[in-house]
Amino acid sequence: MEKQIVRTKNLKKYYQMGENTVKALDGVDFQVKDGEFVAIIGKSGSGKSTLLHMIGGLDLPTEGEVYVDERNLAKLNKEQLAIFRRRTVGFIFQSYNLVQDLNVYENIILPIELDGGHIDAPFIGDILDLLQLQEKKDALPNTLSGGQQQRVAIARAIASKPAIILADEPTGNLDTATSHDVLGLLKTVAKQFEQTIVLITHDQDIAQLADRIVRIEDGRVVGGSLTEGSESYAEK
Amino acid sequence: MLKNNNDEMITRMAKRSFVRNKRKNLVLILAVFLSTFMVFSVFTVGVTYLNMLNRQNIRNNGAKFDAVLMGGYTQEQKKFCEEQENISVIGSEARAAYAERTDRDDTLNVAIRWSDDIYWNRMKSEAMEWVKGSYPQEENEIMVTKAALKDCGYENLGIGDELPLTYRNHMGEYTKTFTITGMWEGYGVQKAIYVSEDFYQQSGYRLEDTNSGILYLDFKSMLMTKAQQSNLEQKLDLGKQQRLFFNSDIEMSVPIFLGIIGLVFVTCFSAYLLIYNILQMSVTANVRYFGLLQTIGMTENQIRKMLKRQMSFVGAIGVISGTMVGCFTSFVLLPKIVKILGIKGDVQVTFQPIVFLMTLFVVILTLVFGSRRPAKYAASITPIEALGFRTTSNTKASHKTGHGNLLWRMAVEQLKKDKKKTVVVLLSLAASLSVFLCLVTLIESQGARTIISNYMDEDLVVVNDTTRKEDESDWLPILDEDFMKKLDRNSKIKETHPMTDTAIIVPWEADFSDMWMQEFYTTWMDHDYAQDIEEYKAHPDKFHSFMTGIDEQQFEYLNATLETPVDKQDFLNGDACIIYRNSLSFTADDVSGKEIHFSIMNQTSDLQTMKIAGMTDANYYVNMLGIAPTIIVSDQFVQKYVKNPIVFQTGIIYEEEYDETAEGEVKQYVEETTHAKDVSYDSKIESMKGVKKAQGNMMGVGIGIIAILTLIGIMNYINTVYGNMQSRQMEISIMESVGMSEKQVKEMLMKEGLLFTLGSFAITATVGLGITYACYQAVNYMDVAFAIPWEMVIIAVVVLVVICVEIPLITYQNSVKRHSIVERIRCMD
Repeated sequence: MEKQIVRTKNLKKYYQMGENTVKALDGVDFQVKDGEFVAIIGKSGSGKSTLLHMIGGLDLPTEGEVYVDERNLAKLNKEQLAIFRRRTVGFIFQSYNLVQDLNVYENIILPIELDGGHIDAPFIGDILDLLQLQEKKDALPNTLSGGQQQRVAIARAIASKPAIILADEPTGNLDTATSHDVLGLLKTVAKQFEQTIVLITHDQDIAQLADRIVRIEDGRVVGGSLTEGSESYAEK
Repeated sequence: MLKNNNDEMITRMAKRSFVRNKRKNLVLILAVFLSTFMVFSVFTVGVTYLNMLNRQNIRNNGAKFDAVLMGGYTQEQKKFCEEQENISVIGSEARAAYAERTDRDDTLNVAIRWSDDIYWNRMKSEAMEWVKGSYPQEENEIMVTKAALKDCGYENLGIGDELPLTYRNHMGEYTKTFTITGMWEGYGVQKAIYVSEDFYQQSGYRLEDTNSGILYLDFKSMLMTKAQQSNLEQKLDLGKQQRLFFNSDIEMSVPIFLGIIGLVFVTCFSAYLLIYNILQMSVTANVRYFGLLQTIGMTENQIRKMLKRQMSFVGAIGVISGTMVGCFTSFVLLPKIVKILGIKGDVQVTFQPIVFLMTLFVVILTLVFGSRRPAKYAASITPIEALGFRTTSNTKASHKTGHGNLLWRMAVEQLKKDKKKTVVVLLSLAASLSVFLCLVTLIESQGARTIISNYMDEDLVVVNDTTRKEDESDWLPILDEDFMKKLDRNSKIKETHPMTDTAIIVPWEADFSDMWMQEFYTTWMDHDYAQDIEEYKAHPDKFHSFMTGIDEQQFEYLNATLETPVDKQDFLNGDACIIYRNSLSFTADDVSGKEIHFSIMNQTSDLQTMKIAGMTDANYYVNMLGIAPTIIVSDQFVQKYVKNPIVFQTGIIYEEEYDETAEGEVKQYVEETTHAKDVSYDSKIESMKGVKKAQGNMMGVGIGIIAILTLIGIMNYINTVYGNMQSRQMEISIMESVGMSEKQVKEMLMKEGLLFTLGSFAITATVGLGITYACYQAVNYMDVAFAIPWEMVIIAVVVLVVICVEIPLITYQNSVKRHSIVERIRCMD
């Protein structure tokens, strides 16, 4: 049986807005296999980002369980969650979220440094080459284009060799051509380093790049499908 | 072109913006308030202190002047003074006669003086409470006080009455009946009779005479440096008997003035930094708003005007409240503060419009300078710039990858990011720390200056006051053998050092005594030695002096201070003595090796001869001074030579320094004698208590000053940290999202705080210490070695570390941590 990197069970997240209770997630059962590239699609406010935050250990569920790499996140305290994030998860955000005071290289190795870990220079070099960032490694983020910044974010997400990469609308701030370039690189990197990826988008075309698409509506998973060519990818 | 009347709209917008940014504006108002209060208080204390010092000097001196030339003066010296631009008033006074007796009293203590118009009307009048009648014009007219009349036994006389008086002047003794033309009361010498110029002209005295002419100088400027004072003294080319004295207010004018200016500068500088920092942050935070205002058509001028108006609200509230509280505090606390600074008597604080105007000027200037650049920046923002504005001031395109601890690197990077702001905060904190260092060092050094209250640093010196009487037969043996035995038996007392004093006669001889007398007359007397030499030869007892007997330890202490040490055995055996210089211009070489012959009173046949082995200026060894030389000899010699010598004082050293029980017991022994009231003390414990009290009071004033500056500095730091935290929310959230734990965030912030402390400490340790050293040396007249009070400094640094570290943590907890990481990330997207 294939290893499941992510497993949620009856996952619920409720917010209190005045007298109303908003059910951001309402009993989600969801799994991601090791090495799989899953796209979660849904409208704005459907709960897809909330699900990603739960998997990434940024937020805790109101009810239910989230297992990532065999760890029940509900049982981790704040400190353990922070360590979990830097060791197990790589994030890619819509607005890149790079630290402006650190150069490209420092941003990429930030999670490793925070963990006090050894920097695998050849590995980081490979990533820089693959993402065409070698010449920009000393540059500060504010001098880079949006596409370049998102490539740095991808590099940072991969650098610590996490169990899973979570990408939240990674092309939301990019034009179409750049979006395709960035996603192409993300897929190449994931393939080369056999990374599990969960990508959130509202764009059907982008979702087609994944092996599997999961649709979410009003806080519930309402369907899923394999995309074209997904079997061969999964087999690898 | 007609001017648009948009003033009302701008005022309205300024008001709205003022209300909208309540928190920031409150901090600004507080900064202006504290600065106004501080500047007002410093100016008021300074001006009142100088005024009171001036008034105290006028009262003590009985006239208003800054310097006095005593010992007679020449017309050339007066002319020189008249030519000096800095000298505004020059007055003369002179001794005109000695009052001998009246038919009602034959022991008069009244001075008979003449003063010129300038001294009387412009200098002395300042110290008078009232004057009736007029200054004498005729030779037989006088001006008197009630006290003078009382001394003459004619206290009921008034203006127009006549006073018969016998007086002696340079020409001889006369008796005359004087008519009283005027009376006065006031400060200064009370038993004084003033006479006319005619009387003085006939007195035989000249203004050049040592015991007659006195020249009073009042300077235009309140400030005079030490160099200027010495320069004037040099140019006056003073004779041997002339002395130029400066009043304490002019003598200390420059250090006091620099102190006031320094405090005002540091206060304004701190306030400037705070105002500048808050406004700059406020403008940066509102870039989009200012861009929007320009988009809808507001001109640069109007934006500037709006900000200026906003600052005028801040200024008005801050200045008015600061002055009001300053006024209140000045009238309530100021008398205490001025007394602490050394003024005796009632302190009168008057509202000085100049102080108010100066405060207003200085604070408004600070406000204008502090807000000028931010206003200019706000006006220069274009709408396009505003749209794409991000709060980052890192203008670099790249940097090399750093090495070492990530958190330290990030903390350093944070300080480097906005260098200007970092410098502003560092300077502000360093200003408080530097003022603290300066004040604490100065106050602490006061202790070292005065705690060695007597020459040998003895715990207690017991003085037999009867030995201060002129007639030796009035001296009582209070510190006698019984008393000394009691001291020796007391186990709490380690050492006693009694000193004896005996009157001696030094007969004339051609070598040493003649040489001494010549120099003594040149320096101290108003007539020539030649006039008295025959009298001296015939009756040396009329020119007697004294001999002090000291023990072996006292000799060793004294010997260590001499240029050429004296042979101990010679001294103890009574073969050699040490001579007291008495301000004569002899050097040790002039007298060393010479012999002195002397005998004690009523024992002239037993003439002793001793070698003069050294000379000292230490007046600790001198009880009474005579005309002939005062000598210091060994107590062994005194015991052999003098029958029942009188102990004039004894120094006592306790087993334990500052032992109050031992001191109580010594005082008890004194009480047990029959002449306890004729004994006085010089106690190290009392000195220490006095110093501690003075230090405590000074410390109170110092802490007030430091507290205000520290508050301004900390407000600056809090604002910077708060502003930073607002603009770094995103950065911190990003780092948290990629795995930075709360502990690591806090550690990073703590490190930033430590860097601020380190930075401000570095500035204080260099610039602050330099200023402190300069201030210290400016007032270090006693040549006390410079020492930093480390305990206080370490406490201040620890407090600064706690503040600098805690404020970012508290701000993080209250601003960043108020929202969950998910909420913050949502805001970013």
